[in-house]
Amino acid sequence: MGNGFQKEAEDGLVDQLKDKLLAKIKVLSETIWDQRANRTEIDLWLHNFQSDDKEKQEKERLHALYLLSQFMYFASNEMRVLLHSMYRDLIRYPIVERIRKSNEDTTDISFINEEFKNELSKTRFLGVGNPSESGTHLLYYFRQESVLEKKLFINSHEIFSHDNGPQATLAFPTIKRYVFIDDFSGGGTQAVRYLKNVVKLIKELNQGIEVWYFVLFANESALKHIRDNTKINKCEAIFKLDDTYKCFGENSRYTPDEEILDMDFTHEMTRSYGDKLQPEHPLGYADNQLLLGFFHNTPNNTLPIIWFDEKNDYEWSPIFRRYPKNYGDKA
Amino acid sequence: MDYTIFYREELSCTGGWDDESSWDVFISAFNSSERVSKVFELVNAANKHWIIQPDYGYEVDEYPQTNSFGPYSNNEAEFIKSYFNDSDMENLCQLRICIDITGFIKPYMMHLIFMLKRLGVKKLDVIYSEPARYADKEKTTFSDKEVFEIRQVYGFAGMHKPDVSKDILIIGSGYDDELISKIADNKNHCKKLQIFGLPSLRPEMYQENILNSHKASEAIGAGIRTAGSTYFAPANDPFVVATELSRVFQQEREKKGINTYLCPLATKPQALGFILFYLTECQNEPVSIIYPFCRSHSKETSIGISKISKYTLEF
Amino acid sequence: MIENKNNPFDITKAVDFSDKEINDYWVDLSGDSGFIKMVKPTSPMPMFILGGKGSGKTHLMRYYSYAAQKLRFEGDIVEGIREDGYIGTFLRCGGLNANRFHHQDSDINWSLLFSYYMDLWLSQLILMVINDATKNCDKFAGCEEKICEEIFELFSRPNEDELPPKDIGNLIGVLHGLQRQLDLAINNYSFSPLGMENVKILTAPGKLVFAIPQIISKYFQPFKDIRFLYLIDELENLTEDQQKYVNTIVREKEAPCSFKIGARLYGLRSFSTYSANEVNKEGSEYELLHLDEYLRNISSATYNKFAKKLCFRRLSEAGFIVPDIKGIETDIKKIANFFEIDEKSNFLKKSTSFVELKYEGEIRPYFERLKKQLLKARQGNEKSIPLSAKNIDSIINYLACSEYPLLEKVNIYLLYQDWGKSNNLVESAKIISEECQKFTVDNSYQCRQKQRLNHFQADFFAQLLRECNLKQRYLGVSDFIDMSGGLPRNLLTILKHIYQWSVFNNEAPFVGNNKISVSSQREGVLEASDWFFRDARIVELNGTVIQDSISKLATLFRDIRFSDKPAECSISTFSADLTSISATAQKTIKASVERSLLISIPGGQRDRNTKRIDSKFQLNPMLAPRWDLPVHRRGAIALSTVEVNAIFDPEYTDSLNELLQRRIGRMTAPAFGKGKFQTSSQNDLIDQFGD
Repeated sequence: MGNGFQKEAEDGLVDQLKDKLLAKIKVLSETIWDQRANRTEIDLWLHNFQSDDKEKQEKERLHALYLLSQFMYFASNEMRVLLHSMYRDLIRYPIVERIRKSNEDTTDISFINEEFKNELSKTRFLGVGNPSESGTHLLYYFRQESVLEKKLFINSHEIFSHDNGPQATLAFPTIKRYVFIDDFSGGGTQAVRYLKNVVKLIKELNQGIEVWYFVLFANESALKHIRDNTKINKCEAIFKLDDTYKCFGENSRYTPDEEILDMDFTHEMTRSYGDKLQPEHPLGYADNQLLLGFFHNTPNNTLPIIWFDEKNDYEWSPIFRRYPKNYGDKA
Repeated sequence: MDYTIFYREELSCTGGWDDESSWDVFISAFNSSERVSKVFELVNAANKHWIIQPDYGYEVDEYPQTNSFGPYSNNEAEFIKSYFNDSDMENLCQLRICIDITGFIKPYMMHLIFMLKRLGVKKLDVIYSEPARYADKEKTTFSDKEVFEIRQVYGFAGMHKPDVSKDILIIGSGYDDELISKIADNKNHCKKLQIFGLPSLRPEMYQENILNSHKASEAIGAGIRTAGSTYFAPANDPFVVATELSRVFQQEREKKGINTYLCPLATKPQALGFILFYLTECQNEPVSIIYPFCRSHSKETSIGISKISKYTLEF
Repeated sequence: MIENKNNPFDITKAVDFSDKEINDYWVDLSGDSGFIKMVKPTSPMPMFILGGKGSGKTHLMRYYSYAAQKLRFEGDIVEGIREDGYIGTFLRCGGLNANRFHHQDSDINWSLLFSYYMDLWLSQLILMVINDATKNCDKFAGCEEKICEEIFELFSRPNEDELPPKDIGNLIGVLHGLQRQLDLAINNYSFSPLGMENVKILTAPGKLVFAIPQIISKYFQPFKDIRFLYLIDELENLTEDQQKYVNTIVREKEAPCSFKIGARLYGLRSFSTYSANEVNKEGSEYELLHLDEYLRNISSATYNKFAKKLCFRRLSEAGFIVPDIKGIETDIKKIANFFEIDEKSNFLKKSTSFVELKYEGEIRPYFERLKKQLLKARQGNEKSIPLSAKNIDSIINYLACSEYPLLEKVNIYLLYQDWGKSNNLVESAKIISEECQKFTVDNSYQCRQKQRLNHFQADFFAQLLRECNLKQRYLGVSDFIDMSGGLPRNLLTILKHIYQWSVFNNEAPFVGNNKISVSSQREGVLEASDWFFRDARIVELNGTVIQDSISKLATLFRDIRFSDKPAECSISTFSADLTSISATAQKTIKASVERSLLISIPGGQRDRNTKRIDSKFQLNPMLAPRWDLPVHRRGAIALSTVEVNAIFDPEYTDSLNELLQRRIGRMTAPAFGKGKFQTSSQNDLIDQFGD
């Protein structure tokens, strides 16, 4: 397909489609995107796509707009709901289920709550990564939404104590359960890096302690990687991402219905700009090619054209900016 | 009331379920989707019943002939009455019963569960299977949208009060904005609250749901961020739905004896939550479940099978 | 990201207002059109108030209900009511869930059951109102027990020893108990029919409705002379049979009661009654107030002012504007300033500058098309003499007036007119050019251009926009008010959508001197138009037939508007002899009017040939933007019987294309429906070139 559109015949169609996409983005922006993609922001971002060939430029901008209309964004309201769900459905429920089953399926709410409170007191919640990480940032919201006491939240170094010599011991021997909370896992490598030894040591000190890892969004491959490479007891995500979320993958769910849109063109365009922004990962870290962002962060597994805002030779205005970490990229 | 203590479980899509998942009677509503037939096969039950609902418009040679009941009247009370007559089950309250709600059209499912409870059933297992994917992203049509009446579902009609100034309508909003608008319009005078499925079955579904239901925002009279008008519960967890409804109901009730109308327009598990809440807390209250009755429903709206959930309702 | 102020036009429905807001947002029409006069709450004559969705009907009825009355009194409520001269009891039929009162194969008298149920409901409501109004009134306390006793006597009770309640609160409780009994039996009937056997009807239909006010006014002196007004809204939620009961109590009304019954246009199913099956007649048993018609027929200046006041009220309540000490007249003038509109200029020079911009150095699209048409032309009546390329160029040069594209359009139109009369085209073009030049110098110069512009300016402008692939323009408060077609809610909806777009476009609307852009207005208007069209389907079962018909009609209007030589200007209206069309077509048209998709124009249209008065209908201006039509009503076309059937009756749809081609063909160059260029197979002898 050429660089531009056939002018006369398609003029109307292009504008029509552009209007349709803008109207869709407008609805998203004014509802659940919390005004993050209003016209000014959109125009500024589309302005990134420039070419001497005006027809090509128009085509690029239309396809970029299409990608934006397919973006998934979770604002703070929604993230809170998801965090609450994580607590209620992934953490609380299994414990309650166990309580009921070991007590003849009792429905005595007071009894169940009392037992649960007891279990909770023997549980500790932790984030993944160091305190400035987006994962731990969410811990605050998680605690708020779940109405939990501060003391239940610790850092991973607090699990162990070296009071009795060089050999580590459990700082809190009565704790039966350590729950790690994370927001996003693309490949699982960072989680493994962070958790592997901690879990190993916990298990060595007390096989019976349960270690759980819960993440809001994760690629299926990431969960597998974590399960295969750590002794973690439970590893679950609220939302699992399969290969259909890979924007230009074989099974991509983003293939447009409209004939005027060309996915190959979009792929090429995204890669070409991506090469300038993030030469090592032009289509997102580990070639993940995601279209996903959160109020507090856009993972770098998402297409760089969406989030890239670092200082570089190349000027770029992101639409959903990323807050880069200092040490390296998140897997 | 906290319904989240009730048991739920994920069953394997390839079978081999434990003894807890075997029953005396298994009831499923026939439709052409793969997951409904698959589950019927996998289930271990002494008696397996196919319910044939007239709304799907199946010809005689299109549905199973053995152990099938119906098609009867499209009035849900008449239908279930006929089903009970023909199936001739005795001592229902002592039987282990399981229903697969996947293929059920909501009013029939609602009335069936209502009747089972009425006949003394204290515990009921309900299965719901999720598809691998829907046919058409935002544009999925489940019914033909020709609503011929909006009314209370039999068994779910309340005793309302004349002071309608503080009435509320709680809609479980799904993809179909026209249905949402019709219901909102029918109960024009009510303050409208919406429950959205979050977490949704898939991440993009929440956003798609918002996009679709936004078209009904004029009828609803409030936006998604309007305080006190939007609630969330997982799309596949009836117990959280029931708990949320209970919470909202108590909250609104403190504003003094109001009429409440409920309408589940989203997933079947969500509707199950509405049913559970109603049957547990709303009988003889000024609360009704209303529903837009359509002339027909499409036979198949999904492809493949990705998950089977089992919920244990306790009355 | 700009500050997220709430949309001042967000709440568009009266149902979403609290009682206080009803009062706060009340905007009375000025002068003789005041609502009090229109609705006459103290009048004994019942009134049916029909209104389309968004006509303000519910708002109006709630205004007269006790809950809103109460908030308007500063001092003693009882005294306030006495001064008002009435007390309003408001019932919404939707709350009755009346469709329960029906069951197939049942020998229960559901009608009787319903009337009893409704009586109990109304009784509770009126007693609740009285109870609240008199709660601090010692005078009432003095006669309360007696009142309760007499009301209690209205019921035939199996247990004679049962004592009457001593106060209204308890009496309401008793009535509610009776209602609950009914609810239980009715709700359970489908699976437990035996419960109905215990149900007893304890009063005759209508008795409670009249007797309770009579008893109250008998004993409670302050209410001796007031009107007990029942405001029964949402009548469309009742079946025909149930409406018959309402008609009966209207007919049989007794002092001191009266009724205001509200219904959607399509909601009145019957005027017949149970009183020997007599039918209620307008003027005799009731008055009819057709609210949107009323609003449309008040002087446009008055509605305009009313509408602007409404907007102003919203903006000031939302904190966007502060009322000016100079008063409301100054305030409402400010509203227009918030919207960007086309700057006035001679022959729309400024507004049409986009033509030059887009086609700089190129041939303009309408000349391009004319050129193609001329190539196919035949000179005068002579056969087979095509125009030479030189002649074609001359014609185009004559017609050109590049500074004023609008005049170029007029010139072409005039050429088409001459063409139809088989004039020498080069000669015509020369004359047109001469006239045009004089006209550009002196715009009062009487010429054909001036005549045409008087009629077709808006249409030519619309054509220019279209030919340059630009969207139509609906700009400014006046346009929006005209679009609202007499329904206040429509105006609010338009403004709501415009506001949203303006915020999306980062324009900070209604703040300081900011203007809402052309683009925001356009998008908002289009969304509102789209919503209106979709919304009309919502309640109707055969909605698709109605929608399809409207779509076909609107498409016809659009094809006319954008044809080479439109027969009528600013077309959005048609006339037809309804007596000759099919029954289905009649039904569809009626349903379209009831859903406000079509507006019936009073007075009709005199057919120019037969002198017969035909019915006349305008497409609701809210729909205009969806089909690029004008919002102001001007020209009308007369549709033939076959055309009406083809548009409004699915059975005749097949013939529609041909009929349309024939009609539009007459407006299309080069043949204008004649000779071998006819698109239809039949000779068309009717020569209508419009004037």
